[in-house]
Amino acid sequence: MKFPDYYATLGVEKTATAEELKKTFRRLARKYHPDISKEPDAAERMTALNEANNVLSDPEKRKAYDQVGHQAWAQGARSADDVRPPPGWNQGYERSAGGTGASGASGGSGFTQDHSEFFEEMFGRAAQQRSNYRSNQSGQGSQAFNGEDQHVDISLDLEQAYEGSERTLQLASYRINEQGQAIPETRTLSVKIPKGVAQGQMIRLSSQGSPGFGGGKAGDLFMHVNITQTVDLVVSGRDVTMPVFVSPWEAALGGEVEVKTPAGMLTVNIPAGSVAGRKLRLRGKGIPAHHSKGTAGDLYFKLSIAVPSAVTEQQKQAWQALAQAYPGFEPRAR
Amino acid sequence: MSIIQQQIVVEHIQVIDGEMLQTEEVARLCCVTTQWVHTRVEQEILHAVMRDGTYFFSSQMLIRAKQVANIEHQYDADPQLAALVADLVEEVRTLRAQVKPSD
Repeated sequence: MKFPDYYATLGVEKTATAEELKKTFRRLARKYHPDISKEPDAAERMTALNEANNVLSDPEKRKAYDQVGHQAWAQGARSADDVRPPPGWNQGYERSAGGTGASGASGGSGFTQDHSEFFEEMFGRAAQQRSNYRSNQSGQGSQAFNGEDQHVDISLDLEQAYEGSERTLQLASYRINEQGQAIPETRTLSVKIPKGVAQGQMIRLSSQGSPGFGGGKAGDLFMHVNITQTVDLVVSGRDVTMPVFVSPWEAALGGEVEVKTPAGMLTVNIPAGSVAGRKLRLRGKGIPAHHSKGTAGDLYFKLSIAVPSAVTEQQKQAWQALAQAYPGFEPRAR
Repeated sequence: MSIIQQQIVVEHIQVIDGEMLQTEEVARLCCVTTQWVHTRVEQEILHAVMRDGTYFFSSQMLIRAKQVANIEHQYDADPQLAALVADLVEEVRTLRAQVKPSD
């Protein structure tokens, strides 16, 4: 893993004032904001910018950083006495993998936390632990630190939201040994996602975040659920909107139609005189409730009218007869 | 040095369903004070449900709180402006997800 110098990351001189740093960071943050930027590496650049800014915008951190140098800082040093992580601590770090679901879609998962900052904090605490270890040896007592909470994004398709799925997450972590060294560790978590998880919900995995130090509790792992949407399938909370195609005569005359939905094959009553764009609601057929006392979402159908082609002579005559039956019909006079 | 591999089957998970998170938890996860959280509720930047005199937040509101806190911190932004930016970012994400071609 490359560790670019923080001043170079921000494009400032080492003599830059706090105000200069702030202005530069804000300008670059606007340029590389992942939701706005067109740059292909925006997310990675934003992570690097945040890491650099977190250090250089803090006077104490900046002073320590300038003293130990970038290389040592990246390896966890905060002073000459700080613990150095063992070689290869950052190898094998991967974004979490997709899992299996009802549809077989892998879905994506992402470790959205700024992991560089996370490791910086980790080795800062490891240094504290090492200091505590030394203090223990001299009988001066120790201090417990709770582990950090961690966050990860997971994507589910609609079928997985309705039926539940399994996810495998691979997280780079560490363990502090008796000598206060941080030993790299890869944790593979197998998680059953229950049915009825809605868009934007969080799932907490207790104690699966960063480990604590000196007897402190481990942090929690939070999974942020994102349900994959398309132009046709829109999810809002537990409500789902999907298109349904009807024939012109079904729209005009009404009737029941069978529609394949994430909730299974459903019979939908099309009111007579329906027009394209009309929305119909089926209560309780959206994403199911997560527990028995909860409320399922609703399923909305947005009508589209499928117009059959006039190919055969009989079909053409049928359309012409229809046109003659509506002499005053002016669809463009609106 | 080899990397330790650990396989874990997570048995117990908690789906944060509805308004379940209290002020202290939101504050901790957003790296802000509880006062910051309360003020944002009073300013109608964050929405909470009051039960027995305690605010409870949904996970969606936690995500919004993190966004607002980050924007305020990064830009020394006025809270209402930060909330506006958070609204716009969320709107962009929603619209982008909707215009993605289906597979």
